[in-house]
Amino acid sequence: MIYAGILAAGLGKRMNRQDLPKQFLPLGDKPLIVNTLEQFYINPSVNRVILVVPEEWKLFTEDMIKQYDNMNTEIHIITGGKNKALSINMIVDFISETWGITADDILIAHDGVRPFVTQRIIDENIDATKECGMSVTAGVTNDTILVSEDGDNVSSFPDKMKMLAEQTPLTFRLELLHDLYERAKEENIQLEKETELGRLCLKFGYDMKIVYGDSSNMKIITPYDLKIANALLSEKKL
Amino acid sequence: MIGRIYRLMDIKRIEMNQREIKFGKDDIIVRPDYLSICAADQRYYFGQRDRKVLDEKLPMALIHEATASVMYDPTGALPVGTRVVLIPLIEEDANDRIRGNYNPKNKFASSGVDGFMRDMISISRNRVIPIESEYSMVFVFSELISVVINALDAFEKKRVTDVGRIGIWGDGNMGFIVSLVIHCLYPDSEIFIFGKTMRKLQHFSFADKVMMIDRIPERTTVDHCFECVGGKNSELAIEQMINIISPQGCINLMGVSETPVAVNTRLVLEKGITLLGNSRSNSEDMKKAVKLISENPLCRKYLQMLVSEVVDIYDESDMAHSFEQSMLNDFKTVMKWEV
Repeated sequence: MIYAGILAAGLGKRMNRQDLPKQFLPLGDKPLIVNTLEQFYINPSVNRVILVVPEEWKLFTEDMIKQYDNMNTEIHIITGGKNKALSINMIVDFISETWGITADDILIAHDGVRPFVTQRIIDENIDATKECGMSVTAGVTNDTILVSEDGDNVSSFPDKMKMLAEQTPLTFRLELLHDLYERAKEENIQLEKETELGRLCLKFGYDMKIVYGDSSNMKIITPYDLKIANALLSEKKL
Repeated sequence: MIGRIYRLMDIKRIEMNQREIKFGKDDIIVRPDYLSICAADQRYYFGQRDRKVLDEKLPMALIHEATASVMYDPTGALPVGTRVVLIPLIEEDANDRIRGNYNPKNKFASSGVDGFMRDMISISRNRVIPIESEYSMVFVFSELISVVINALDAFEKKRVTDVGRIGIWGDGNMGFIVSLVIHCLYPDSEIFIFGKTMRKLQHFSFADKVMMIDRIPERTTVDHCFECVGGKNSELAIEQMINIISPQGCINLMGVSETPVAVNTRLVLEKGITLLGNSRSNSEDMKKAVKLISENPLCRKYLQMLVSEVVDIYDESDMAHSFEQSMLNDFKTVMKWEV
């Protein structure tokens, strides 16, 4: 079974909007999150979609989802956590309690605010995870990365050739991911403080395969991003 | 749903655009598997069309020869994963007198409207033909075969004399397809191929005879001809055909010449030759083409020989590479679509 876990539990504070979290703002003719969901509805390998939203927006999301064609895909809406690691943990628990986890199960975790993800990226995540157990989508960076330990002064300039920017999907064999969370619990790791799940994977010695993303697989966080995304979709010619 | 389209913006410049895919009530969504580059695509890509035409038509996604897999059919009639051939013709005028692509009111992918270079395509269900036999890349040549079927249909209606011996001028893709389809549909006919490159002529193993155009033996005759040369050389080909063809034969013109060509009308009249023009097809021809490939394993094997190169396509630079390669390859360049 292949699950898509769509992460949309943020409240979008960087969007500076008071009315709607960013994932519900319009992109083209429909809410941003619906554009993202459709990429997983249409993928023939994805069997179930689990959407993670803030508790206070769960009812709203349920209503909104009904307004759009879900292409006969089974979709479940659950409440998410404060960060990616916690939200994915909640998806794992939900799957475990609802259907149980089998050796073939795979979870594709994807940011709800990356609607430009492609079928190629989703397919390659699935293939890489079948082969390696875990995969992460990443792309080359155009900017040179620098490190600052204190926020004021430059500590180092890492080799640009080794720098990749993480995107999503992050994809896992569910059994491995379940074990990872169990180990985190045993070692009293506070998931509230661990914003990067990938870091946890490496800490516990799991291999992660890189799937090359695309610069267009952008994350829509600020009003500027949304303006760009809407401009990209403004073309009328079919 | 957001999809991607890869359009030719100007000569040798393909760019990706993201746009919302419109999904009508009779539509399904497919994902291309194989796309085959044809001479018309090459002429756009390399700017070999008139500048005015390029300015009118670009930006436009190229490619009208394609197979795909069904991703979504709201009715469930075509299950997910069903392999299909895509029909490039969009029939907007059901006119029985002027059919298919000869009707100026109809549209054609990668000619007046966007072609199939997209990651997902929303397409009317009556513009796909399911492949029910073993799936093979060579179904991508269905559109090319449909043009031959259309031409043979016209030929059958117009010919006065028996089929007998058929001469085919042109040792390229069109010449290969025309001679192969004639070989399959007229097994009793004799097929002579006239070309200028022996390396390419050797691919026509199913033909009865292959000949170099500058070494045609004296007293060679054919009952009917198919011109698959096009370009500036079509004039010489037509001249040879008129000289060689038997009286009341039919010359089927199938190659596109960008400039006017001279025709020896004195000899055409003297021999009572019929000149027939054909370069297009309709949905029925496409169905017949798919049926021919499905039911004829030998045809599938020979079509395999038409593939010079398969290029894996992940991004725009692969697309550019495949077009460059298509000019170097003797026969067809097929894009395996992985975008």
